[in-house]
Order: sequence, then structure tokens, then C-alpha cells
Amino acid sequence: MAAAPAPAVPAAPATPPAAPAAPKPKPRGDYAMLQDAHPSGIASYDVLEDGVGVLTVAPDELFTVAAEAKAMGYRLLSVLSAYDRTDHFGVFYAFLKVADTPAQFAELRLRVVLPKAAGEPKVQSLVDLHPSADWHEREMFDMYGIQFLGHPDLRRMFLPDGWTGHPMRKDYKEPEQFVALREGEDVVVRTNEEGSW
Amino acid sequence: MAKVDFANPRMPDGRAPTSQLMTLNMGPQHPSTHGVLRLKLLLDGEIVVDVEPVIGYLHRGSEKLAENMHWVKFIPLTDRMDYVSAMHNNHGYVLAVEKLLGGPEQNIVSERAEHIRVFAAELSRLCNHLFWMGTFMLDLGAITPLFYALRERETILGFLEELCGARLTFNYFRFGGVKYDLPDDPTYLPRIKEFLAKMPGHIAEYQKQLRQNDILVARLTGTGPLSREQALEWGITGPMLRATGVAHDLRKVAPYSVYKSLNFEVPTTTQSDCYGRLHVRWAEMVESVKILNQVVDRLANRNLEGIHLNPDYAGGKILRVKAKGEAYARIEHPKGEYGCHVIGDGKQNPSRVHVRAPSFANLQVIPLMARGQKIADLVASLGSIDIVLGDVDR
Amino acid sequence: MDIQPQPSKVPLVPILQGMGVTLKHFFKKTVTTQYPEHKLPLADRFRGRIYLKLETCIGCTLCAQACPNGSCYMVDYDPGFDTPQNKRKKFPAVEISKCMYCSLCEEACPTDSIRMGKEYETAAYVRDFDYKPDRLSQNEHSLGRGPAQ
Ligand code: SF4
Ligand code: SF4
Repeated sequence: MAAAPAPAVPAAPATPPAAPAAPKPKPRGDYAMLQDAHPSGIASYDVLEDGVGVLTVAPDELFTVAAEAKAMGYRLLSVLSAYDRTDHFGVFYAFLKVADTPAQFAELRLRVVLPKAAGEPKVQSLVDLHPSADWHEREMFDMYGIQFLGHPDLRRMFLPDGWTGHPMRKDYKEPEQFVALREGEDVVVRTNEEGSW
Repeated sequence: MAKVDFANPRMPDGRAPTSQLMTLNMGPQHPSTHGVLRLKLLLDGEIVVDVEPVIGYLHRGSEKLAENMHWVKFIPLTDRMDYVSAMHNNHGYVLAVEKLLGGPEQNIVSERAEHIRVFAAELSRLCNHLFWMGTFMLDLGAITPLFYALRERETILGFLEELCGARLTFNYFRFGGVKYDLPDDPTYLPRIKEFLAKMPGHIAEYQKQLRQNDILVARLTGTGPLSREQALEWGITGPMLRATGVAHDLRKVAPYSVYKSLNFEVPTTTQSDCYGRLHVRWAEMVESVKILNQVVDRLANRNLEGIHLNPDYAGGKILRVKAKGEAYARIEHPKGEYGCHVIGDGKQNPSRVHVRAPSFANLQVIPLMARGQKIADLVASLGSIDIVLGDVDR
Repeated sequence: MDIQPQPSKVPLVPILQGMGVTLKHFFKKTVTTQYPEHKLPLADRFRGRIYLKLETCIGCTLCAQACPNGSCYMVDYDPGFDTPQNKRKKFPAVEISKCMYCSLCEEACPTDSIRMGKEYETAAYVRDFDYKPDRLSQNEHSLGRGPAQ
């Protein structure tokens, strides 16, 4: 897949998931710095149930925000996870400051919200910034069908290349299929097609 | 890493190859790939030009399964991911769900249960490193060390069997504590103490066999190099990262459970090759013994308050756990950072469970470590990552 | 703590040292056990195959709900005696070839009727691993095989 220099993502209205009635927590420290630096790219700040904050980033600003975070010292991509809620997909990132002592350690979490109404989910890839995102993004593409724009080799990670659908989506129905694991030209034979055997 | 072009191969520096390159398939049924890993190799004679790992042969869709079962039923499934140190998998998942149930302070677990958890987890870490050492040496062609390693591992598995009734798939941790208290047998902790007293001697014995062995040193020094920059870029964690000189240990820098109150050190080395990694893991075993000694002392003195399992989450109530919200918890698994990202809707089943598996993240660097080296060194590099395919594919 | 791996300067000596360790063990007692002639003692909490107590089971289906892979399920079964606590005569059955010995069924049972025994040699020549309540309720003694102790 050819990498476009500046992948254009349809600017999706970032809708944060149901805001709690309690007063909104204020970002502090590095979170506040990031939010001040990118007022347009960061939609909201929430605190998760485990007490760590998360910034909701617009999908076409993710790369710049992550690059800024990396410049601030968050050099280790700890986790990249995606999820499927009723009206949107989400991609969840956590970056770590690698540290020798507890005082130097810090964690930064980002989240991208991709509404289902905006069509197929698309988000910028972080491979150029964090090469380790490679397999994690491939896994999320495999499981959720999230397109990571700018990924050099977006293939399925676990399932065979000929697989139909993205199984971790909530609306996934297991298709009747037979996938031949042939190198290069994987053949999908549908059992419900006539003469397919 | 960009896809390897097998039809139109290039040398690592972009030149066209001067000699005929060969494509070789290694695995998925190969004894030294630790399971069902497949490596597509591009070879120039015996030198590895490029590698492409192909995984997914053991993919069981645990994360999808988790969405359709009660919260507690996923615990036995985590056992089957990294089956060499299953206690840690339990711990990571349980910790994440407890953050949803008990908030960031996690006050639903008693002090005693936390100590039993650390006790079980550190025994499991010893098991993992022992088994890693044995199989790593097996990869290199040395059979003897495996028997020494398994001798101690069997003893530890015996202790764990007394603790939770199983030797490999423990299913021991529960939300709010652990499944059983320590065994009633009054000799249990003294026997552990006795074993722990002997363990440094055993480690010294392995070192006497292996550390200065000329063949081994020649084989491992300079094999599978990984610079500190590469390790950080590629998201390497655990002993692999510490072998590059970064003392990043989540038990120390982001303490969970009771690790904050325990006294131990984080071994590092700057010799980032297979030989250095062997030393880091040996030193970690010594540190684990140190931690275990402290924990066993505290448990034996009976000055720990509380019960092993919060009664709100015991017995038939395990099925009634309902959690709401989103959390991520990370622990220091013997292989690296093990994390669990959970989302709940306040229902009896999770909406999303994602497991950040250390083997999966660490396996990515194998092309970097293997390029330009011999095939036999590729096997050594692969062994030094410490992968378990159940963890890679989940 | 920084470790400096130090290879030896003198060749061959470390190899001889290593061989010395092996040679020393040549004269020590063996640590392996010759299974199946000899068996290691099992722990008290060992989780082996499942047993059911028909006399106390109340047919509450909690064990079937707690089973992660559906190997434990409820069946209608007449035990041949009066079970006042279980009027609908519903009892669990376990497909033992699917069971992963996780003991969640045992944990969820309010009456301790279903429990993990100590038998672990469940291999058979005939493939009938679907243990119905009659077979599930036979204890070690009536099977003619004691627990390996
Ligand atoms: S031990 Fe586990 S798998 Fe087996 S029947 Fe009980 S709940 Fe099901
Ligand atoms: S065995 Fe226990 S849990 Fe299962 S139906 Fe009987 S009483 Fe209920």
C-alpha cells in the first residue's frame, strides 16, 4: 500500500462517549501542555476508571500529537488497542516514558474516536514514529478493519489473507467460508456457492 | 517492517544480490521455533538476508470469546495464553478488572491476598526463567542444562500445585483476592524457605556449567545484537530491554500490588546480545528469590491482616460481577510488559478485553536481530527473546 | 545493578568445571519417578476429574452457568431414589473431554455437590467422554480405582 505523504482523513466530528454529569476533570502536566499546543486536534480530556487521563484526538491530528508526545519523552508505545461501541470505533494508545526511577516514569494515553456514521474507520498510522506500531496496527486492521493510513504493509496479522470480514466487530456474522492457505494467492471458496468444491 | 519482497530480492543495503538468493521456509512445525511460528527466510548461502515472521497458527480468538462470557470465566483462558507463567496472565487481567470494580485505589483486595499474589507470581517468574534457560540451551544444542532447570521447576510446580491444585493452568487469581489461602499444612512455608535457601546454590550451579563455557560464550557473544535505540523504537520491554542498559521494571517504576514495600534490585547489563540476556535473567532469578524470602517471612509471621478473598466476590457471586468503565493495567511479566485493556458496560460480560502480550510485541524485532547473521544464530536470537506462541497468537 | 559478563581467560577449564558438575550428579540419587509404576503424591487441592453428589445437588444450574466452555450442562436424570431438594430432577452432566479442569463449577456450587476429584487417568479405549450424572456420581471406590496416592 503506497503511503501518501499527508494522509487526508475526512475530518470526523469527534464525539466523546457519554460525558459524566460530574464536573469535567482538568488536564494537568503533560496532558495540559499537549492540549494547549493542539487546541484544534484535541477534543476532550477524560479520566478513566483507573485514574489515568486520556485525551481524545481527532483522527487527522493524531500523528502530530503523537510526535509531540514523543518529543516530550514518551518514547515507548506501550499498547495499541481498538474497540467497537454501538456508534463508534475507538483506538486507544498508551505511551510510556522509559525510566529507571518511579519519578521519571510517566504515562500518556490518547484515544481516537471514529464514528460509524463517517463510513469505514480511518486513522493515521504511527509506524513512522513508532515502528513497533506495525504489528499492533495490523492486528487491529485484521480484527476491526480499521484503516491505518500510511502503514507500509497493512495486511492481516492472524487470520489467513483470504478471510472475509473483521471478526471482532460486534456485527460480525461468521460467513460460511473455506479459506485455502495457499501462499500468495489465497483462495476463498464459499461453501454456499454452487460448484465451489 | 516493510514486507520482504521474495520475488525480487534485495540485499539489506538496497543492492541487487550478486549471488543467487534462496527462499527457505522454517516452521510452523519446527522444533526450535517454540511452537507454531513460521519464518520465511531469504538466504545468501547460510547468511540470513531477511526474515519475515508469519504468525497466527495458534490464534484462538480469546479476545472475542471473552466478550461472550462472564467476567470471571476469562481467567482460565488467560492461563492458556502464556502457559509458561500463567500466574502473571491471571494477575494482569484481574488487576484491570479490579480497577473497574474498586476504583484506582483498589481497596477490595486485602493485604494478605496481595502478598499471596506476589508470592505466587514470583514463583511463576522463577519457573518461567528456568524453563526459558532450559529451552534456550536446547536451541543451542545443549541438552544437559534442561534437566537441571526442570528439576527445580518441578519442585516449584509442586508448591504451586499445593497452593492452587494445578501445575500449569492455575486459574488462581480472583477479583478481590485469590482463590485459596495458603495450604493448611504447617510445613508448607518452611519447605518453601528451605527451597529458597538452596535456590541461589542451584543458580550458581547452572552458572558454573554455562557462564564461562568457551563454546557457549563464542556462540552467544555478539549474537542477536539490539541497540538501546532500536529497543525503545520497537517497543521492547522486560529482560530484553534491561539487557540494553535501561533499568525499566514496572515493579519498580510503576509499582502495583505490594512491590513498593519490597526490597529488590533491577539487574541490567550493557552487553545487549544473547549472552547479556542470559545474565540478566539469571540475576532476575536471584532477585526473585530475594523477593520471595521477604514475602514468605511476612506471611509466616501471620502479622498480615485480612482474608484471602473478598467475600463479595466469592463462591456463587463470581458470576454476578458487573463492571463498568474502561481501564488499562500493566504488570511486569517475566517476558515484558503484560497489559490488559478492559471495557465494561455494567453487564455480566466484558465489552472488550485486549491483551497486550509481551511475546507479540517483542517478536517484531527478529528481522533486526537476525539480518546478516547465520541461520543458527537466528535460532539463538529467537530463543533469547523468550516467546511463547500461545502468547503471540492469543 | 549493572552486570558485566566476564568470559574466562583460560580456555577449556570452564568446560571441565561444567563437566565436573555433571559428574558429581552421576553419584547422586535420581530425581525422576518411573511413572506409571510409581506415582508422585498428589496435593490435597489437586483438580482431577469431576464427581457429583446426587444426594445434595439441588439442580440450581449454577455449575452449568459457570462453565467457560460449556462442557458442564444440565440434563434430566432420575437417580432412582427420592431427591426432595431437587424436585425437577435436573442434574449436571460433564463432557470430560472438553472440560479444562478450571474448577469454576466447583466454586459456584452452593451445596458442594460437584467437586473435583483426584483421578487424572481418564483415557479410555472407547470414546465416550460425555459423563452423564450416573457416571459422574460414581465415586473412586465404585470405579474400582482409588486416587493415585
Ligand atoms: S472444571 Fe471448568 S471446564 Fe470443567 S466442567 Fe467445571 S467449569 Fe466446566
Ligand atoms: S451441582 Fe451444585 S451448582 Fe450444579 S446444579 Fe447441583 S447444586 Fe447446583
